[in-house]
Amino acid sequence: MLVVKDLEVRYGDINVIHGISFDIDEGESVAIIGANGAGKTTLLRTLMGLHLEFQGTILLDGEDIGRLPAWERSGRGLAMVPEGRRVFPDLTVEENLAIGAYSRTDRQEIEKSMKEVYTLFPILDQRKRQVSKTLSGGEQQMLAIGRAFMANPRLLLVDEVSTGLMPIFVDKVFDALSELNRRGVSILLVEQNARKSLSTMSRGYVLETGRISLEGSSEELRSNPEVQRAYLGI
Amino acid sequence: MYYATVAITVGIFMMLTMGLNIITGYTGQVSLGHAAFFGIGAYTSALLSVKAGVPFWFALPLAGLITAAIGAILGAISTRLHDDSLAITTIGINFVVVSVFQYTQFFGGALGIGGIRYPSVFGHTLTKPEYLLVVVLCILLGIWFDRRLVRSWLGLALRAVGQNEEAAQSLGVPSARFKIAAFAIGTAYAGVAGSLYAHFMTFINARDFGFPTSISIISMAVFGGLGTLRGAILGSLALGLAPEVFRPLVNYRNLMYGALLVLMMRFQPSGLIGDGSFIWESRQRVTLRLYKPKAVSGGEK
Repeated sequence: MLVVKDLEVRYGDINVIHGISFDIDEGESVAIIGANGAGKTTLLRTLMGLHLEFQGTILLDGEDIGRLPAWERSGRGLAMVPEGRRVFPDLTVEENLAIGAYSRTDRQEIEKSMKEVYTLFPILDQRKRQVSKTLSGGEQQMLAIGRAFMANPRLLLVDEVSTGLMPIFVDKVFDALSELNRRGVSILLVEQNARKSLSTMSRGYVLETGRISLEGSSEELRSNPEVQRAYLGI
Repeated sequence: MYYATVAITVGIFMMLTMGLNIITGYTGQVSLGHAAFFGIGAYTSALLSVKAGVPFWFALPLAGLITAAIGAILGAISTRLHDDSLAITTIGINFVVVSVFQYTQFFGGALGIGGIRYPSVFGHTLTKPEYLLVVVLCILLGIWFDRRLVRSWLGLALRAVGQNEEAAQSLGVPSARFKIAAFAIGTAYAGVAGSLYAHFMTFINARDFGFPTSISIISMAVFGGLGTLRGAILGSLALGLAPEVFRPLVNYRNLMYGALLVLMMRFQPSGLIGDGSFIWESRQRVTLRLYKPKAVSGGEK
């Protein structure tokens, strides 16, 4: 579904990602784990079309989408849950979800998606008329996921969902991601929390200072001594 | 007559502030050159009236439309700029527009344009209180449009772009188009205000639309509470009336606006009655306590 070849990303003079290649199949859930500064957020922003200074190819369903602006990529089935749960702070929960469905026109289907979000996160239903900056961090993260889901994506790009959340919310948020994956949404997750991501996603890559150092199924990575030492603290 | 003159002036600034609030408040595009569009509206209306003999009632909407068209073009340029560079560019636009008016013969040069006709209905020239009524009607129309906008899809998209452009883009919102729309709508308000100003003063000069006027407008929006209609209304009312009420302040108006801007940014960045301001939050707390004694725990922070 998504194929990335020899991707090199620059920020001005600084090379952040030095030629990486990876792919995601339809329906897969893939984690990219790495420490702070490994280039994870830059990678997702490049895939979404928010950062255009790069070389290499990004193929979605065999088509090169590298030059498309973000809003056109959204129309082709990409959606992103940004780092630091960037919801629209002064819009209500309901308005945040509504804007998520911007590129869709099927009114009934949109209603249905909204109901699905509220079933997945009942707390959002209770708070739907509330301005979203008054939500707790965990609730905002749920809203950010719900909002991306409203775009009816085929591939969801998820940036650091666990940062700054209480453990109970981390579990909830990861459960929600697995649920979305079961419903057929492919997921690419970049995370610092290797333990949680490798137990939720089926396959993984390790990103170290802009290069992929390891790849494999989640079980393989979890039993890899290097991963255990560097990311799992065993 | 004096009161009518003050009220008309305040009303014109209210239109200007409401327009800026759509561009800078809702859509987050900082414009420090709003007075340029005030000027474009005024000159359009003045020229239509003086050179083409177009009656006020047609010149007014035309000034709004033409200003909106020019606003849209500048909006299109602005979509390539962000934050600081946009703010600086809009200052530049203000100076360029003023210079064009000042140094072009077509626009009356340094003398400006005089002999603009005061509006009349069936041969009866409007009195000042009657003109005030026209201004009030324009404001009511502006308020009505603003409320419709905020509740519409377009308004929702504008606010989403204003609050987080990247998030909006990654949800499929083509943010550039909405910024252009915001500039067109906001400058239309300024164009109407310009027309009202030109026909009220009957004489206009490029200096009336300079950078200090832009600062006055943004001060009003910020003072009341950027991003809310009520803030735009209260801000223009308060800062528009202050120099009249405290007469000795007149000569220090710019000093007062500047100082207020600094103080508001430091102590009440949401403005006097914007969302999140001390007064508005207190009011909401009181209302909650009065009407919904049990709902206070519902996440209100």
